[in-house]
Amino acid sequence: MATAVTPSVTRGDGQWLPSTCGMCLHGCGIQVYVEDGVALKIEGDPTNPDNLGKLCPKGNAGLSRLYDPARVLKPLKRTNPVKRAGVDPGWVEIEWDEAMDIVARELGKIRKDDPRKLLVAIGDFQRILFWGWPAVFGSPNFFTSLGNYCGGSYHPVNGSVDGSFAAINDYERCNYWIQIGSGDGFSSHLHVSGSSKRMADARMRGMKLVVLDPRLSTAAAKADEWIPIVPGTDRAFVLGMAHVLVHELDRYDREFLRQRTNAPYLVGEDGFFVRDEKGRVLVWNERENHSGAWDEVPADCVALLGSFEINGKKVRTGFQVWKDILATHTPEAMSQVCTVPAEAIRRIAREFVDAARIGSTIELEGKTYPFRPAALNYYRGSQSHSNGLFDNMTYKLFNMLVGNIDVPGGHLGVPLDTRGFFVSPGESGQLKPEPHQLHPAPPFKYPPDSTHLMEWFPIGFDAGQLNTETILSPERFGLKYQPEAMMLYHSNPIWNMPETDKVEEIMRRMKFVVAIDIHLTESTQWADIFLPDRTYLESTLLNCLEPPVVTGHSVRQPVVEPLGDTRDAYEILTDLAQRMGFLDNWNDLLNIVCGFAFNTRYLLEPSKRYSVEEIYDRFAHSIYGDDKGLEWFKKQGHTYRPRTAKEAFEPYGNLRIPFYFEFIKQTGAELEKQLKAHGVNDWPLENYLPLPFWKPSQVIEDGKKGYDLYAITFKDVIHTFGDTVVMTWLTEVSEKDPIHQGILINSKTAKKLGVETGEKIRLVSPGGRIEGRAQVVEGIHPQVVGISNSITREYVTNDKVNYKGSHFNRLLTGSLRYTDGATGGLESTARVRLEKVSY
Amino acid sequence: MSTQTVAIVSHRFGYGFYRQAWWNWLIGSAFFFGEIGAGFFLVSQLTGNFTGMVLGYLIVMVGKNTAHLKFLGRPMRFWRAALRPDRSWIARGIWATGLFGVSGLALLLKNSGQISLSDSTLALANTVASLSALFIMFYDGFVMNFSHAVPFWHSSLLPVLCLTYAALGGTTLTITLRELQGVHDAYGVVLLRTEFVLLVLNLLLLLIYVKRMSSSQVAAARETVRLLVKGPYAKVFIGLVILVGLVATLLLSLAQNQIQQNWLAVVIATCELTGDYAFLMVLLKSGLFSPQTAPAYARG
Amino acid sequence: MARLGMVIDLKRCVGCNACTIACKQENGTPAGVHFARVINREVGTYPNVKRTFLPVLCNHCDDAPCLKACPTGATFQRPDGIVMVDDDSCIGCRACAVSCPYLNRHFIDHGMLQKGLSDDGLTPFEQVKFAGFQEGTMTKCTFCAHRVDHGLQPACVITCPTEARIFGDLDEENGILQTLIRERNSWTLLPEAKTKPCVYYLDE
Ligand SMILES: Nc1nc2c(c(=O)[nH]1)N[C@H]1C(S)=C(S)[C@@H](COP(=O)(O)OP(=O)(O)OC[C@H]3O[C@@H](n4cnc5c(=O)[nH]c(N)nc54)[C@H](O)[C@@H]3O)O[C@H]1N2
Ligand SMILES: Nc1nc2c(c(=O)[nH]1)N[C@H]1C(S)=C(S)[C@@H](COP(=O)(O)OP(=O)(O)OC[C@H]3O[C@@H](n4cnc5c(=O)[nH]c(N)nc54)[C@H](O)[C@@H]3O)O[C@H]1N2
Ligand code: SF4
Ligand code: SF4
Ligand code: SF4
Ligand code: SF4
Ligand code: SF4
Ligand SMILES: [Mo]
Repeated sequence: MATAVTPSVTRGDGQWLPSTCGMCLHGCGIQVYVEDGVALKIEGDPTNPDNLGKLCPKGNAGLSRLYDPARVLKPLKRTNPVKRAGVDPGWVEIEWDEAMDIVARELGKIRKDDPRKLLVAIGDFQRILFWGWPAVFGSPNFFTSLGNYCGGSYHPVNGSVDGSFAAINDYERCNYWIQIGSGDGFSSHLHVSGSSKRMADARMRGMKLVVLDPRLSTAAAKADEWIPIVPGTDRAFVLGMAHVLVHELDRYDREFLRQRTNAPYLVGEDGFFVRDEKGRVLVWNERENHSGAWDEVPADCVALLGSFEINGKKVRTGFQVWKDILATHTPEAMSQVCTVPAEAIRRIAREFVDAARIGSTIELEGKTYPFRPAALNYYRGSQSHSNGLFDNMTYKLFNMLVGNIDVPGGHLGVPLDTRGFFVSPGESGQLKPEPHQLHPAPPFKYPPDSTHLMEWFPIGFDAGQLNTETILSPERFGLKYQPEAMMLYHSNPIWNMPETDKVEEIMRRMKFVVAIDIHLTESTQWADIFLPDRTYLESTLLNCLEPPVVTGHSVRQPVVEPLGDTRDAYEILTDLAQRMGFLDNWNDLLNIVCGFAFNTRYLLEPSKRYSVEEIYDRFAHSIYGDDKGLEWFKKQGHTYRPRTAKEAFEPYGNLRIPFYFEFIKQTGAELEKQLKAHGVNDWPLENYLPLPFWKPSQVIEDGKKGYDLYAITFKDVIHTFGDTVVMTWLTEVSEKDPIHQGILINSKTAKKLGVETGEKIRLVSPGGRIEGRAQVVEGIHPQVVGISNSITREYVTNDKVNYKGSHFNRLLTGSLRYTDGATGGLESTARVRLEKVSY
Repeated sequence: MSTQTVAIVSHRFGYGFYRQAWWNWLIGSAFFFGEIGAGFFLVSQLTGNFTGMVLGYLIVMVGKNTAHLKFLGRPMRFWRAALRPDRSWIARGIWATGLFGVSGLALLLKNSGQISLSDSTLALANTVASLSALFIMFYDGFVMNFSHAVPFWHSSLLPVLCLTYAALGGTTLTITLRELQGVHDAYGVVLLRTEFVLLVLNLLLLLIYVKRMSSSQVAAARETVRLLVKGPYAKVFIGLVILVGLVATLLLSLAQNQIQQNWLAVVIATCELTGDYAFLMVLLKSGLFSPQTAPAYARG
Repeated sequence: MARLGMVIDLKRCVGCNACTIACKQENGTPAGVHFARVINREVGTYPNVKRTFLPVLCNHCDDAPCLKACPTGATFQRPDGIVMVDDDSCIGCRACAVSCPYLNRHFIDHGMLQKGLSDDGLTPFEQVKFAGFQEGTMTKCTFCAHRVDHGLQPACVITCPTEARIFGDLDEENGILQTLIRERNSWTLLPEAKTKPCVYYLDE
């Protein structure tokens, strides 16, 4: 018998090393089999309760990233001074010392001149501890749409509601799951390897799943019901359902709203809460028919609904205000907007509230909790729109109507990392809103420091897309300097930002660009120096990022000798800090973000250079004590354990969560004063409102100008953004799936326009135009064209990749008009018209 | 559910019919050479034409075997193909070819006076050579029809068709050779009649075959018929296989009956062999695998 | 002796192709060769349209036509039912490929082992993995025999995020496989081919 019956050698004398997947930002547990210095197999770490030994396709393809022949393995220097898209930079390999000298010299000049002139694009979520490097350099500027393309409005609302970063429904107990514009449990978002199993288990036990998506996504395909919807109108659908609960069925969780939220707080005609002389917000005492401070009126006497008079002034409870708003949001009216039949809106609302079992309780770990096994989950697709704040508020409020926030069965906040929810007491018994989960809100400033105007977004995320508008018309915003240099680090802004040609224009203006990456991309092609980072299989860190049901840290360790002549990004950043003379500030910052400042034993000395291993060794010790350092993690892999009921449920304790988002209105009013004081009168302040309602967005307006279709983009489980399209293992599979073969268009629409699969078409939007091949399908709304990330790359180093270059973001507009003025969230949908391309 | 038409897919991740592409023109050529070579040999043997036997023998032993070896991924190990005659028609074919090689060679050497054989040995060689030639003429039909995977091939008519095509090819070649050699004997009329009968028979069998497949239970078989009759192979199948290979030859051989011309014999042979080769090629090319799907979605 | 088989629960499966890629890295197959695949299909017309995902791999048929077609005996079946190719004996005649109705045979054509992720030269991973293949021979899913023989589950099974793939012994009357096959609506692919597949599917 021949020996070669099987080509596998994965069980020889090598060893398995625990580590963390880095193929997407989330970081599932892995173990890597290494023999004779060659990594031969990646498997899920079965001891990791997050992904339970499973890996998604990307995680399974990691070795082809490590050994990708197209990786850059030595620092590169540009020799062609001409910078233009499609122009060969004329890369030559150089030594690290020379490369670092050049970068330190060029950036050092900028730093001395005005450090704000540096634009930084960072996309490395797993090394989030190092995101402060630009700040210690002295630049506030983030030149990427990164988390803003998805979480711009999402994270602020999550943070405000319960101090969470993200959210998910309770996989284990939910019985009725509405999912809007999200791949959770199927294809994207939180740790898809593990959540796919949790979702499958839920479906197996009979949980009903309703999915709203303009496209027949995987989630929609597996759902009990797919509801195709016009992009950007999901809020109308949910407002319609809220109308049904509040106005037609009169069914909602009164006790939750009354005791756990600020819904009963009284609101004056000016839209602010009514406060007594001590500043306490008033509520209405139903039994005695007068107002009183929130903490003085007995709980069972507090009115949830009603309009009253205090000193001749009309007041209403916060809940009453929304009820009044909802009055016009009938299913019929909302159906006109979102194209979902009114009857479906009614039926789903009814099924939802039936399933929510309002009033029921459950005992967990010896404590009784409300039990609300119905919840609405949502992510990028449904709220990455120019009224994203209202979208997010609507979805949260709809969940609140059945009292399911952070209770078993319901809609659960997910903390950013092991620090858990950011919960602290705010005003009048309310939870202190924490709209900023990544960094503290920068104080207002005029003229602004940052090119993305972060000082003008007191509750928002980093609105990277505004870079184009501010840098190209600085006088409009009082920007007093022009950026001159750029650092790209694990980010591809030419790919990830809207309005690509403007992004390219800014790249063109840069006097110096340095890229820290593993690959050449659309963006790095503009660099002067390219510094090759190590892949996740060759570097070191401790990771914890948005794990939905567990808490702890998992290690990333080099499983093989790093290939070529590369350096860990931390070492690059630290070396640069040292060369430019701000190592002390850098260490100071690390002391804070790594938490060393709170455990002085591990405090970094200001002028000492620490290795990445030392940093994470201290980090591990400072959290897990003396016996658990980096070496412990390298052997054990992780400290993950399931979150306890106490950690997961009712994190807000007795603090009231916002139903009426008064602080948003306050913040807006405050901002308005400051802007006006500096003569800025055209800033979009109209979204600083305490309650959501339906209003058409710019995208809907664009429809009136002959752009009759909507264009959307989407992620699929097999790729991370457009990045992994260079990985042949993945692309040779994804390119065979019709959804990744071209611009998806509904067969009826295609017929009407006379378009067939494979035909070259052009999409024209108010912001730009792209070309591509039509892919006629049934599974998409007739008014929508869909573009998978996997056909959007314009420059890739792997010539085996049959990429199509239909870069969706060229259709978007990065301006304020397409931005949520309150959160900075961008509009990720474009109106387009379709043209046939003739030769 | 709608009645969506099932497409032919170009990769194994797609839903639809999938083209047989493993067996290519080399296999088609091997089958062709095997059929016509063995047929030529056999008919020449029966009509006592030594040159025909030599040519038939060479077509099989050089043409067929070279094409086979060229096709194999590991030609040096070809002998292994003979190991499982109990279950494989290919193995049986190898045995037959081997026997044909030895017995045919013996006959040829004997006939050319290179060796002498005892009467019983000669009789044995004759029998073995005829039977193995006969086997080579039809076994490729079994090689293909063995595959349930390609429903169009899975018909008991296929070995019969291979046999009749081989016989036809053999007859045609023999007639042509005789025409060129100027041989005129009693076999002349028999051969022409046989040729005529075989042409009609082949045409009938082919039509029955296609007709049967067009009402097959299996969609892949029907889809192949569509490819042959209306689709991309219609030109080859109707034009070359039916019109040139059978109908034209039939008409021409009627004329030949009257005028008996060298050149016409060559024309007929060319038409007939073209049709034969085209038939095998189109048979391989149009072979489709059935789509795979859950029963619930089987009907679109 | 056990009769190895697999049950794939289509209700759980989300068509992610993690199995496809897990198999790819476990077996280090050359470009374009996938022992595990997912057949992706859109059924119906808008708005009554579905996407169905059908993960496929060798069925390790009880009555395997590939085996019967193989003239050399290179294709053989182990007592536990695993159908394998001994590539030292394979002559590359592709008769098995023509006979497998499920398209689960893969030919390692000449040149395929010289080209990996790059056309010039193999990666360290490919150098190790490709050494296990022979050009000009047939290859296929082995049910991860090399793992199974060490008491491990196949690579595609352990990675499946939804646990849609269940691997085990079909001979156990009350084992997990037979129980699922009995209790759920189960079927095999192309039953008309009479191959007696040992990979069963559970309805969505
Ligand atoms: N596999 C994979 N996983 C990932 C990532 C990845 O690139 N690949 N990226 C990670 C990151 S950073 C993020 S932000 C998350 C994002 O995770 P998701 O939010 O799940 O990802 P998307 O695919 O961008 O959007 C979800 C869905 O929204 C739909 N959609 C688009 N517009 C609309 C709309 O207007 N309304 C509705 N209802 N639906 C709409 C799309 O068709 C898509 O199916 O995933 C993370 N996880
Ligand atoms: N059309 C379209 N645009 C989008 C989205 C979309 O779905 N469609 N999604 C948006 C969202 S939600 C997000 S979060 C952003 C994300 O957009 P990006 O931040 O650009 O995405 P990343 O994958 O984080 O970064 C990609 C870069 O990281 C590099 N890289 C990969 N691994 C490493 C490594 O180990 N080290 C280093 N140094 N570099 C590495 C890659 O080579 C690539 O250059 O895109 C947004 N833009
Ligand atoms: S979900 Fe992300 S982290 Fe987890 S295996 Fe997939 S790519 Fe890796
Ligand atoms: S890995 Fe599992 S869920 Fe994913 S396609 Fe394969 S069988 Fe289906
Ligand atoms: S599926 Fe195909 S390769 Fe596998 S045993 Fe059955 S016939 Fe043979
Ligand atoms: S290709 Fe190999 S395994 Fe397949 S039938 Fe021929 S000898 Fe057997
Ligand atoms: S059992 Fe092993 S060889 Fe077969 S498909 Fe699964 S991973 Fe691949
Ligand atoms: Mo994102």
